[in-house]
Amino acid sequence: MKKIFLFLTLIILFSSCEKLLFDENKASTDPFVNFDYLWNQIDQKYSYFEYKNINWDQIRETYRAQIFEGMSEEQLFDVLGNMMDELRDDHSNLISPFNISRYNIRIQNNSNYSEHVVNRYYIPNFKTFGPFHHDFIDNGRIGYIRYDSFMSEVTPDQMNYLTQYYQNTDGLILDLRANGGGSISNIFIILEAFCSESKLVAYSINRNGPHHDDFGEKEPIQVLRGTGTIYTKPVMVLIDRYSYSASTFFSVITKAFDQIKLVGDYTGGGGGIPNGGQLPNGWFYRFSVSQLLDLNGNNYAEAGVPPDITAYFNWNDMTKDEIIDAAVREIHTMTQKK
Amino acid sequence: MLKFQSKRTFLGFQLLFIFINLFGYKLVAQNEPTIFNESRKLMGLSIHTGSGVYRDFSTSPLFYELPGLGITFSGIYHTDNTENRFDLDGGIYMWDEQFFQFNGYYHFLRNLPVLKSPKWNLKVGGALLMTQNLRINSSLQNAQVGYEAFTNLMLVGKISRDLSVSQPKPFKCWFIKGTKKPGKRMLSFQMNIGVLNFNSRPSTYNYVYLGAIYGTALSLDKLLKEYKWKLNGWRIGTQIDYTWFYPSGNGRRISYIWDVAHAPGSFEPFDMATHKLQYTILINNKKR
Repeated sequence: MKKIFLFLTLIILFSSCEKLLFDENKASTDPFVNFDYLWNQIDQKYSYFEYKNINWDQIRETYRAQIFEGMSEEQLFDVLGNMMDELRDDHSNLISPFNISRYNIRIQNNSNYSEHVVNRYYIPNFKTFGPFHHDFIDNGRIGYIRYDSFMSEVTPDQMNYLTQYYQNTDGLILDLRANGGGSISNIFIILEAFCSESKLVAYSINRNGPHHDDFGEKEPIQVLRGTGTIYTKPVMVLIDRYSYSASTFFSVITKAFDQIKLVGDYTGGGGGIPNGGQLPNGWFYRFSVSQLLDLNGNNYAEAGVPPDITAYFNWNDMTKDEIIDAAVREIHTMTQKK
Repeated sequence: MLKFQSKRTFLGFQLLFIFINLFGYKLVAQNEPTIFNESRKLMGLSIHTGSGVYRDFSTSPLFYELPGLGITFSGIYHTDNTENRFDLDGGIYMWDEQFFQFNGYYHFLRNLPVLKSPKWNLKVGGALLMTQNLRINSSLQNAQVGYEAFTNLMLVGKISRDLSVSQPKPFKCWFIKGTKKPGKRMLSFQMNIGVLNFNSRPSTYNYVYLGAIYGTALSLDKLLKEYKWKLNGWRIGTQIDYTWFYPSGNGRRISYIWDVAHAPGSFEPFDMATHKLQYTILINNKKR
């Protein structure tokens, strides 16, 4: 009996040691280990080195020289965050328990959206439906739909309701200004409501090797035909430099739709998909691992997607929204042409 | 690779050493009827608690250790010479992250008549173990949903000790004293070692996990394209069972189950282990 107990005890103890079988535990708070880990992850996976002409080796020299033994977590965070900012990409973030680094492209540009002006002078009795604020404008001839974040889930049923609700209008305005992005799945659900035939809309390319110019083949991106009521009249998508990430993704895809036009300023950029990861000290990070290309192979990650109709908000006149007005005029023009 | 090989060899030698030293002298012939000669058809319903450990180098160099619960449905068929067992198992391990694991397991074992003590039984055979993991860690954003699958063909060895007594029998084990009640009891140790180890992991250099493609028009196509089966890695499992039977043929079992696997995949490896303390109700399903 004693030997059986001894045997069981040894087996259980032995079985608790799976980490002896694995490679060593990589957890570390050493600032050099964490710096090298992050630098290498970006070096091996980031997707815009060539496009943005970034000398990543030189950046390593600059920032590794700022690492020293015994530096505080805040100091390490600042060095790593500043290094990620060299990517000039709002998809590059370092996330610690006490701070999040960001490049913050939006504060380098002017905003073209005032919620106050829109709500007071255009949709004072707006309706709220799911993630949308919406109402008729222009004496009921046009539907205005505000969608302020792709983080807010959209369902096909919601889009079906909206396209039915506005089916007798001359056109729709979809306002994506100051929409900083979110889930790309919402892009497809929205666009399917304007898609009467499934179509190729863009391409994605992914890093597939350790060299900065290693990319796989272009992967086609499609929007499928909608399953509900399809809205086929003109749609104006309002954008500005604060329209980032999924909003840029959305804007690139609209170029494959004849009925959809972009109105406002350039988007902020950031079309690639950012993937997340974790450092040996437990902090998280993310950066872009793919590039989004339109059907002609154009890349808008840094400059942003240009509008078809340029218009800027006049902050000296807080009684009207020049970008909505430009969109209304364009819908009238397109309607008259028909 | 060399490092891993040496560790596995170390594990094997250690177990062999322990076994031979403790029980080597028990190897004597016998043909008397024992608990091992009885034919049984059992259905098992189990609950377990324990922990799940994993490390996915494609997103993090850190181990995640999560407490969990699970259930298992089993079908077991013993004859005097063979054992068939089929398990369906699901476990949920969570803290800030969630780790869901689903297993399908089958083994066929046959007596290896080298142990000559009536109280001992050795079986060997083969097993098929199929596992699917689904992991959610929202801090990883677009990489927050991880998935992998394993299929392992394994060699199995199972040694059992009949602890049945027909009369009340006093016992003393160190400071524990007591009396064994009459009944059929059995203690088993089973070890599984993967021979053919397949794993399905993202096959692209830059892992784009499900979170990034979920809900898009291309999600299924992308999923099928980005996950590929690879024949590499290893898997080891051990199980200790203490089983007792009632006169009706029904029984109970307490088990400690350890499963550990390493899957290099295409680019970045995945490590996984689970520890389960399991309680099983065995229902006699054999017509008398």
